[in-house]
Amino acid sequence: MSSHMFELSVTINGKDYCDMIPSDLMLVDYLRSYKYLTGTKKACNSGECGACTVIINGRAVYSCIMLAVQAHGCRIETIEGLSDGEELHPIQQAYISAGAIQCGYCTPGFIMSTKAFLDNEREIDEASIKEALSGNICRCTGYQQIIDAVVLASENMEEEK
Amino acid sequence: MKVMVPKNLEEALDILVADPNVKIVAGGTDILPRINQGFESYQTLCYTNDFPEMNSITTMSDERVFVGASIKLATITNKSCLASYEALVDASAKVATPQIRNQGTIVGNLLQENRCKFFNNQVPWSDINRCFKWGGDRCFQYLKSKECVALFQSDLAPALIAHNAMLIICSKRGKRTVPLQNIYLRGGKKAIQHDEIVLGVLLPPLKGIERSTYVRITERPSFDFPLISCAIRMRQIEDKITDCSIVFGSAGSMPAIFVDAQDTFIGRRIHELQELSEIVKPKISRLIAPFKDTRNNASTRRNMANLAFDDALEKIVNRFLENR
Repeated sequence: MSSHMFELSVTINGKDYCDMIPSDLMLVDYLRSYKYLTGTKKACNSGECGACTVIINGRAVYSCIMLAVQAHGCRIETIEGLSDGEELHPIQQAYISAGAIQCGYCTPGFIMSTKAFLDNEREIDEASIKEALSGNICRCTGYQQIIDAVVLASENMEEEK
Repeated sequence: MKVMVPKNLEEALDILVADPNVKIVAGGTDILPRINQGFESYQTLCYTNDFPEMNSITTMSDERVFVGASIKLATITNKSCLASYEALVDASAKVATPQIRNQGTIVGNLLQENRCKFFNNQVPWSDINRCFKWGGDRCFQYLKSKECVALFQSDLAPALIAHNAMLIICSKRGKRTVPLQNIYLRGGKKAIQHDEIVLGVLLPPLKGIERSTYVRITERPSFDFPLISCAIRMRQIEDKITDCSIVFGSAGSMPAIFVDAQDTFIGRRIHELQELSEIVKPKISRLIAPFKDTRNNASTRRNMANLAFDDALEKIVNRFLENR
């Protein structure tokens, strides 16, 4: 039975970690303050904006309304795990090519939602893209460029297969 | 705040018995935002998500289907053994956003707190500590009300009540099984004791030709709480409706069962339903509480209930016609 501290074991971007953490620590705070993975953004803190989106066991989740203990034993993917050194992931490249980034604060969350969507879905059309990204908010782009980026990323990833 | 992480169900029940102030957290998508926003605070949470007793979907020998309390909403939409419970699948697919559906659990959705603009949209200078939800003595919706009238917001509850679902609840005293609708009490309260944990939902087997649907009206098609919702389930045997459940969600502080329509539809044929609906529709307004929120007023809410009922009825009639 735990007390105030919890021994957390997780796999982040392919690497295993074990840390003693306060049991009430939110996952976003664990990622940012313990692992210095500050690409995951903390904004609304109530599961409404999607800036904190990460992928756990293949599914997109809000890390600001998830306790770190809930991720115990899980495989976590963050925005830092996408690029291969200097080489961007096709989704990241598509967001740049389609002009889907302005201030960029929401972008890591959008990209992680996009990755979870493209990894899991076979039928990709505008309606399914809108539904997949409905948990993320962008106040700059007006969304059309983001939808274009997902289509472009999907085509690029298909070509790479 | 500390979060207890019990290793098994027995240990979780011990934690609840030992401290009457412990609050259960599973998916966390209902309670954690309120904690983060400072609307609620707890000394201790008990995390109950990883127990095998609560983590499976099983078709039993008598064809009832058990859905564990920890099953995620996103999982429900993908399970073939649940596909015939159409209203449940419809409702699960409509909850909030993909992220919430990946985190939130079936029972978490059923037991979520009711919402109200005076509580959930409060600002630091508001007089909210007088509200019932804060342990105060009044409801800002109706100052004469003796109880909280915050709006019931679960999408799954109307669908599961329409399917006559039961909850399996356990405590140190043993297990009990109760009809889902009996859990909901006035004032947003739930008939579940502090030392009890809901193990899961039990769905009765489908008989004859049984179709169902769930429709909700929201300001946006996703990422929104329902303004009003309607679930309908009907069983057809030899061309006649032999069983019918119609449940409105977000009608008030608890789900509302449309008994008048159920009684009218039973014994009738599918092609008669839309004409009969015109007879029963004037009775819908009695079920809809004149709740005020930032989105619409009482008369709009009643009109929307009519629209949701029409839409749900049209969908279920079409589903029956697909069978022919």
